[in-house]
Amino acid sequence: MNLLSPGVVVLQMLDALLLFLASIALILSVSIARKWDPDATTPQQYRLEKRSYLVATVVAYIFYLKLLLFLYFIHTLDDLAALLPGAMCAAGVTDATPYGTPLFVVKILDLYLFGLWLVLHRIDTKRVDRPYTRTKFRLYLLLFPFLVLETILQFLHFGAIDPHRIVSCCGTLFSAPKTPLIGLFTTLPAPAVAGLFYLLYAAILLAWLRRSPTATAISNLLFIPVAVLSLITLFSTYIYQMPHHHCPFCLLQADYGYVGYLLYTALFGGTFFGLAAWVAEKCGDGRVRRWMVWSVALDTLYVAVVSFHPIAYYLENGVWL
Amino acid sequence: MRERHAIEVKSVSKIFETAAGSVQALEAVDLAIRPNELVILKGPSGSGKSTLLSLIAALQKPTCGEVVVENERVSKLPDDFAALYRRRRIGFIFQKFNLIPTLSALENVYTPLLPERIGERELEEKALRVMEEFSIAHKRDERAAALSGGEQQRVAIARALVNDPPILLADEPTANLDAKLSREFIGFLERIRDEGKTIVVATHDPLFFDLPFVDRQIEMHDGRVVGTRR
Repeated sequence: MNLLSPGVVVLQMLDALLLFLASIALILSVSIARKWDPDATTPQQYRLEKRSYLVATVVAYIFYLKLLLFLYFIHTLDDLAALLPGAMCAAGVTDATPYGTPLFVVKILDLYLFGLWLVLHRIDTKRVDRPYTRTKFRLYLLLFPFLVLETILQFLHFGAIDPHRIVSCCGTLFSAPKTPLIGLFTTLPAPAVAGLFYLLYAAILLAWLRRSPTATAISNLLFIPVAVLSLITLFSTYIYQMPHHHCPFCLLQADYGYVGYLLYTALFGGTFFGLAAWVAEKCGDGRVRRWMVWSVALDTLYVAVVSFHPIAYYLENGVWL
Repeated sequence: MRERHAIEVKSVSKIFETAAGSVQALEAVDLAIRPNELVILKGPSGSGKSTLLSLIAALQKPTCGEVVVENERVSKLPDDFAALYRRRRIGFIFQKFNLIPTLSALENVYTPLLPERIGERELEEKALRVMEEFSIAHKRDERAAALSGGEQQRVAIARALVNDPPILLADEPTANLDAKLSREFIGFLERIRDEGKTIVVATHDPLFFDLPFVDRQIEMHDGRVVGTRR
């Protein structure tokens, strides 16, 4: 039996609608990607110019909506935990079907890909000669399969959830892991993980001080998995004040002051702007420094919030977990 | 040495798609206008004069060919850049003046300055300066709808010139005026031309055809240039 909560219905309908619009945009994008010639004054080029405004606007709105819908997706997963026996948070709902984890990974990947496309689109529309129109439509052709994959996985995941089947809670998932990868996450030595985490943060600061967008992008790219790893392995235990609770989803719950929303927004924002600064530099855009500042500011916020909890715990209890 | 042009129209065609079929408004039009030149576009209704002006003003894009104004390919401008181009470099006087009836004369004149984000005081000063030039400053607080035809025309001219654009386009500017007001407009035109602006007037009003200060008359028919007279 399928699980049809209002949240799931909204997500499925919106994603189906967005995929429909994206498919129309895809058809129109093919000719732009193939035939765009900015210098031409032919009827075909003028037609493509008109079409490109329309299609780029549609695609941009789809991607903006997908970014916002991600937050609603997380909120819905958290809500569904109350309906699934055994689930205590979004982790149980994600693990309820074999499609949940791939869906989550694809959604996060899409956030970065769609966001970077929007950066390129913004740079392109600020220039009178629209120099990246062809590139951005070619990129759209490459991104479209990710959009399809995300929508299919979401349909499969929500369609396969059985509300009568008992699912694992996050305590089981992250304390007695059934996958080797999660097992590795929770058993890594904390000092090594912390060392790697702060080393990469130092690399981000250094890249910013040296005003190197490439170094900023590389260090931010590496910072994404290391930040998630350190959160699961180390910092989450201090946020929960429980040595064996490693769940990255419970952070999103009211019991922990919704700190997860702050953490994940800061981590996404910081790393995303780090990558955006590199894109801007490659396109000769003037916003490189501004985006590097945003990147460092949000990365610093993330580091400050996660670091606060172990320090506060140590000051309060005089021991490390 | 290549002659410098204020406006170049290169092999421009414009086809409008309507429910009844395609309408060819312009067909392979070539035209070059020098800086500070006053050109009259003449021809019967439907000859393509207004379409040509709207392409020069980047209000529309051609079907093919291109329009270059002061070395900028305006027919290739994206919409937001076309708006900026119109605001900074084009003054446009419309046949029916197109004033906003609920705004005062002063507000109508400074409307093109609003996106420039200048202070209200400077906005009013600039608008009043050009209104005084055309003897309409005393009507500053009158609603546009309450102004006479002649007064509306002056407000429209002031609005077209408030940004000090290098190019002035006028589309049948005297079509709604009597002979006296039309002659007054022609007087204004001579003054504006003496300020160094490039002017293109689309009209079929015979009053414009024998003016001594007009540099060129271009005759259009069925979307094509059929004759030029200096």
